[in-house]
Amino acid sequence: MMQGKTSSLSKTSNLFLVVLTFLFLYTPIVVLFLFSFNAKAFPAPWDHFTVHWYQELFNSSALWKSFRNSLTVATLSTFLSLSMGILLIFFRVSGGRISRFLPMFYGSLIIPETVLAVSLLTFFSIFGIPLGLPTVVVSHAVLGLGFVVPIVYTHYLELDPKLQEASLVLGATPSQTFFKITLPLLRPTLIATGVLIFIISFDDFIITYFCSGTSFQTLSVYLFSTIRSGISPVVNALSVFLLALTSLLVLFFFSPKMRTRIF
Amino acid sequence: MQRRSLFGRLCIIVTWIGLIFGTLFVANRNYSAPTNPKVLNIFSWSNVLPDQVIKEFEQKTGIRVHVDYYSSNEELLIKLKNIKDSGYDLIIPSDYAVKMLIDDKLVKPLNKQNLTFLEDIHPLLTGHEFDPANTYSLPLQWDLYGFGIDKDEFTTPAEIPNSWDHLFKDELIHYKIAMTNDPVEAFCIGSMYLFGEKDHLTPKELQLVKKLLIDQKKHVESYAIPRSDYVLGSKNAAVALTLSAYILRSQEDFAFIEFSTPKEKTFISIENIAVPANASHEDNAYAFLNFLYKEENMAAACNSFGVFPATKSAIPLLKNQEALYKVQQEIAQESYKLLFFKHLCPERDLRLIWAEVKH
Amino acid sequence: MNESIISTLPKRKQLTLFNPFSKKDIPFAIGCPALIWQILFFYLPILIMIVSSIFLLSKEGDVQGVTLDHFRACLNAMHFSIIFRSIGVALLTALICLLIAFPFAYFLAFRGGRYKNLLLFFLIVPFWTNFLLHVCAWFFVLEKNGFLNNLLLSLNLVKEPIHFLNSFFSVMLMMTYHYLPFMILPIYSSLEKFNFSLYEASSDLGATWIQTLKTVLIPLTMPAIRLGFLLVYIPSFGEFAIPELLGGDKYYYAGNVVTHYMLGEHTAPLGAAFTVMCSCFLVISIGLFLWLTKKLSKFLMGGCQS
Repeated sequence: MMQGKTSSLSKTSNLFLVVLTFLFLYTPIVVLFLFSFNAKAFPAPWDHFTVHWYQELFNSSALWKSFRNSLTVATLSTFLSLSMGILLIFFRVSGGRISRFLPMFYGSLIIPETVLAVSLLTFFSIFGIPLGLPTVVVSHAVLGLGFVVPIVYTHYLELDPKLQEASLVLGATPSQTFFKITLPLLRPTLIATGVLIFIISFDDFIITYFCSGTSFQTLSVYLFSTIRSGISPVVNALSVFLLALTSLLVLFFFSPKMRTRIF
Repeated sequence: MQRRSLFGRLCIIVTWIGLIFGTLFVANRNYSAPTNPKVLNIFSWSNVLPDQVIKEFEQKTGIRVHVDYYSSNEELLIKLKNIKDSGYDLIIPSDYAVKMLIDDKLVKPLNKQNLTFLEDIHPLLTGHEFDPANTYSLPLQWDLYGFGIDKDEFTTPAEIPNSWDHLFKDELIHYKIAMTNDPVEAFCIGSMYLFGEKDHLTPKELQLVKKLLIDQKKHVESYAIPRSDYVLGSKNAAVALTLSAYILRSQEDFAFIEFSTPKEKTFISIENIAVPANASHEDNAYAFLNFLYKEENMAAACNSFGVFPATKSAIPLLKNQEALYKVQQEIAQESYKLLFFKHLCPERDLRLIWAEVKH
Repeated sequence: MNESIISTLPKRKQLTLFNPFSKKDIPFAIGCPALIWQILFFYLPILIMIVSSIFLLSKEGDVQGVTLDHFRACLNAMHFSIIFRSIGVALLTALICLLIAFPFAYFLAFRGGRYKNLLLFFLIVPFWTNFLLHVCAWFFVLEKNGFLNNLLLSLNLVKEPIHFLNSFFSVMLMMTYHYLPFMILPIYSSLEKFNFSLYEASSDLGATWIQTLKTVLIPLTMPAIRLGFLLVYIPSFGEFAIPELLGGDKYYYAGNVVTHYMLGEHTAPLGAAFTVMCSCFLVISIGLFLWLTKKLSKFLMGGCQS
């Protein structure tokens, strides 16, 4: 495609930059992995090899409780956001007019998460809603909705309108059209978006920090309070465990078999 | 026709809003602790109650103990104040928080007849200004504010920092410091250094303390007391303003860390037990307290976290006996002043001026 | 599209008794929760927060009246400098991310070939782990006896360990690390859809590689660059955990100040007032940025219509 001396120089420098970027991305993770086997807590230097921290990881009740909480919150909020998005599309398929209201869902892009978190905290305290699992789920659902509607609705608009028109003209009701035509067509986007907002919710820190109160901790908040008082190698073990888990998940979703089924 | 559909749509919207709010309130109600008689709800700092003591109590009495943690006294106050039925039967506030709780009528007087350990409590820790007759609270653990030292940085014992000048005087500081991140603590310490014991600061005095803290900033490595042992252990700072507990708990990992009691005066932090006004399982709370104050359990708690016990009987079982004796020697002197943290100015002014220090 | 089809279908009979609900309302009843949720839990809280910035709180925390005191307390040089500092850091983060992301996405899209998906996989995996674990990880690398210092010492590049942590450098490093994927992914998707014949046409017409880059590639990917920029700039403006954990909490940024005020007992309205101020500056800066990118686009294309 590109010929000449400049292109080979640019090619090698490009490759060099990419390698450097990957190094940048992976160095801390590799170091974290190596030190998860160190007998002594950081910042003590390397002592000797041990899997003791992995054993402690699986014994630490507070950590697993917060992990379970994170999973619960992520599942519930993903379910809520996706359902609301799907119902909105249903309304659209049934002839509703929502193009006027669509820009309202893009607001999440302009507001920093800290501002939203602070506003939700004020909102909950004014209405006397006690902070805990429900408030966290509600807040994460707002986050998710800010992704679901823009992404899924845009994809819906890109669908071939003739398929749905044909279905309606041939006598199907709007709801039949929705379930048999629209939803299956949107399935890959829905799955991809669902996965995206699940991760965003699981990883979320700022909103959870403000809206979870004191008795409900997710993994992020638990880690934040742990880091504030010093890092235990159990955290290393946890990160290695999470990395392995997410790699497997990504592999599963992006494997050729899965891809042909979804896409 | 259009009016009808508008009205209809409004009804639908209101129904949805009602459903959403209803679920929020109901879910929270179900989520909070059920009113089971064999239950005890404790709200505490994170380094006060060790897991094994709680487990033993649960096994012995069959009462399920549920502990929630808070990380600042403000959190404790907000939680107790704003939520009418917070459901806690036992709380563990710090000294100045006790006064605020008493003023806001959030705690009820202790039924001292139910407690078996009253004579065991060290008289040094009782009768302080936040609760002069100890009607509402009793001391549980204590530790001292002082300097965590990296011994490797100081070649002779004479050089080891032991006065507040070593934290603030430019000429004496040739190392990095770790300072406290709490504005109340920072301003109390600064004001004590400049003005001595004070109850209230005028705006002019506030500005002077602010200047002191801003001048100190160039020597500061980081602001965080709970991580002070980490900062010392990683050799990022040589002197850390910290609690004795944080140093004592990490001496096993880092032999070069030591605690140095400041000369003449310092701040003491006493963790107390108190019973909230709306507690529903008081008897369980008293049973737990009697269990907790036994010497083996008190010593277990203190050994896990490096704090000092409030009872005399637990001292022989302490890991850090030596350190305790050393500290006691210093503070037992006649002229030694033990101070408590207090709010020296309205919270709003404090937060504004702390932002100025940090900026 | 759908509305015209629906209106030509035979209408169903309306219920004749007084009934505010018609069959047409059923889809509305089903579809409206999304909108209600967004208004109830996004716009309403923000509105309440804006309104609460003028509340005057009594000692017990009840609302007593209205006051502009909070705004007056926030309108001073210190708060402005904090806001500008945050804007500067956010801008710097976005720029650095852009400089790294663009060549990276370019390589991935155009030179990835068979390994495109594999590289994308390796890019995404760190992104999927928890942000605070990344913070922990960087402690291990940047500490005085951490990986980086040990490497530099063993290679004899330095005599003493360099002090990386609790400085501006570590804060910027972590910000870049955290927000890089947000910049790479939009640019990559845009580049992937890029019509290569445009490129060939341009070089056939005699343009050098750099000219093609300037006049064809960048203006066409400008929407993606804009999106990536906003995805990095806006969140990093409100960031507070990174300066606290990696900066030693020595300097307050906008996010730290908001947290500091909001979590106080009686200073929530002060926090709200400061948040309102920050948001105004943020919106102005975003407007400025969008206008600038438009001008840049026009300039790069040398006067051609976009």
